[in-house]
Amino acid sequence: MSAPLDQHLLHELTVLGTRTPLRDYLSELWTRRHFAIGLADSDMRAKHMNSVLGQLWHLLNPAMMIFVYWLVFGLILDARRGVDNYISFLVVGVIIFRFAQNSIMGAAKSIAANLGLIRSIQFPRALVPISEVYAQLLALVPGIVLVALVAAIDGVRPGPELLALPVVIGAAAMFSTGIGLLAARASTTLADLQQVLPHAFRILLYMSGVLFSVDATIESELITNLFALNPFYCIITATRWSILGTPTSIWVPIALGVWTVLAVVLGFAWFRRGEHRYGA
Amino acid sequence: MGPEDAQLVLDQPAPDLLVDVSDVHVTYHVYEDVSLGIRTRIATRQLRRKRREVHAVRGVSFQLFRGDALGIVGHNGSGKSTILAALTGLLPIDAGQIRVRSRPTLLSVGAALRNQLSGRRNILLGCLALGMTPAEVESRMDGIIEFSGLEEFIDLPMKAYSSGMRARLAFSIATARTPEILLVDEALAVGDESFRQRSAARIESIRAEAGAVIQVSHNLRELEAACNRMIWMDHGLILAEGSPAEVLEKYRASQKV
Repeated sequence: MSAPLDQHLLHELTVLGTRTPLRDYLSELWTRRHFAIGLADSDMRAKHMNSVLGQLWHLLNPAMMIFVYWLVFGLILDARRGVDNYISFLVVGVIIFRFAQNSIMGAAKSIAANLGLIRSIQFPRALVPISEVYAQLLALVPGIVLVALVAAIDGVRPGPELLALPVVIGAAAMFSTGIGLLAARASTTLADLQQVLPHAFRILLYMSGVLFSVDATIESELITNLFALNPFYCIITATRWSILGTPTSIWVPIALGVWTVLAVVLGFAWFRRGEHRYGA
Repeated sequence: MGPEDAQLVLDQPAPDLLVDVSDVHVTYHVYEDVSLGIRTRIATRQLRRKRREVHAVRGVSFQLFRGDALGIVGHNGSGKSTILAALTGLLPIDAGQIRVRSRPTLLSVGAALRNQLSGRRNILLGCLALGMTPAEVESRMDGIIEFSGLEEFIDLPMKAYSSGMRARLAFSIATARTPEILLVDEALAVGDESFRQRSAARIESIRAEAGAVIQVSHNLRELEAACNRMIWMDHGLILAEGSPAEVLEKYRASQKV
């Protein structure tokens, strides 16, 4: 074997597998942001590569979904039950809920889906789930266009609350990133989680007032305020408030803020602790 | 002796240490894929799925200096590829320590980037992941495509590529920016003859440009030509270390039973 070396030579090297300080990690995330953007871009491109209509599906998909909801809830069930502009109400809820759902489920799958990249190139792993949320933000753009169309046809006049929409969507994206980071790490050790997530979101869909108005259905103010404990309810209600001017309790923005900070801090902290284990 | 030469003598540094691997152990934990009937399970009391430990690397130490090209030989399952994966920092080690000057870049045949995307998009993604800016990728793109020799196919999705073409693309991306420490896992075994020569030349230039290379291969002749040091691994242990000629002599002798 090799002769023992001077210790000072060893001290110049860094030990593999030690965690980079948070500040360095964040600054590396920022310098490599182009990679997350490129990854999201490629994902969107690859998605409809083999279909005849190609990239047009990013617009057609939410449009068809809205048409189905209009058909089932607006025409057949006539489920208005004291909600003004029910179709707009429904479409806003569905679009923003799907954004959060797809972001989190995409992030959960992202480590396994990019194993080739992770195994061959060294970069801060958090970029992978983050790029998934960014891809969903891109997919949200045609969704918002359709919301605007439906709202205009429905006769909705947006108020000054509309100016808060970027903040609300930003909070939804941050929250989804935090939860997505948690889900991403959890599903690397427990792949079973990916089987459970769709069902969890199915339950959340009914628990978050996507299809019905919580305020119009439940009379007790105490119980409607309890709904603010559900972050998805907060995201949906805040988005409706911003676009449709639906009145809402003060607890909704407060809870949304708290949830967002909690999710981002916990998500980052926990994801980073597993940093050098992804790819194993 | 001119003043410049005197300077050289004064500055004569101790050999520059790039990698120090000391007593590294790696263990894989896997579930056995044995289907026992429920009756056998109860009878033999093996109610849980059996978790096996595979002790792939069992106490390996070596050092790598600037300008080194280290070859690792050994049978399948001797722990060669595992030690490379551990060196990238992607595979957690159970005991021992790996110290590096900078993070090694691993080049491996399996590292197909994204199958649905074209070669060009894969180059873009790979280079961005390596930390280049979009402008930098733009300026290097043509050079990378040219080196890979895939001009004709560069806009086809990678799933249409042969395994040799994939390896060429992966190699071209990974070496687009000269890494300080390059790990090569069988990557040269798949390309065609002319690409082999070009990549051997590039590895040689990386070695010359201050870096160090570790190569794992079953092609002993190629390895002997490319390396200045060699390690023979078996069952997760180093059996011999030294010049390629010495080590290969022992290795070949062990194979003639």
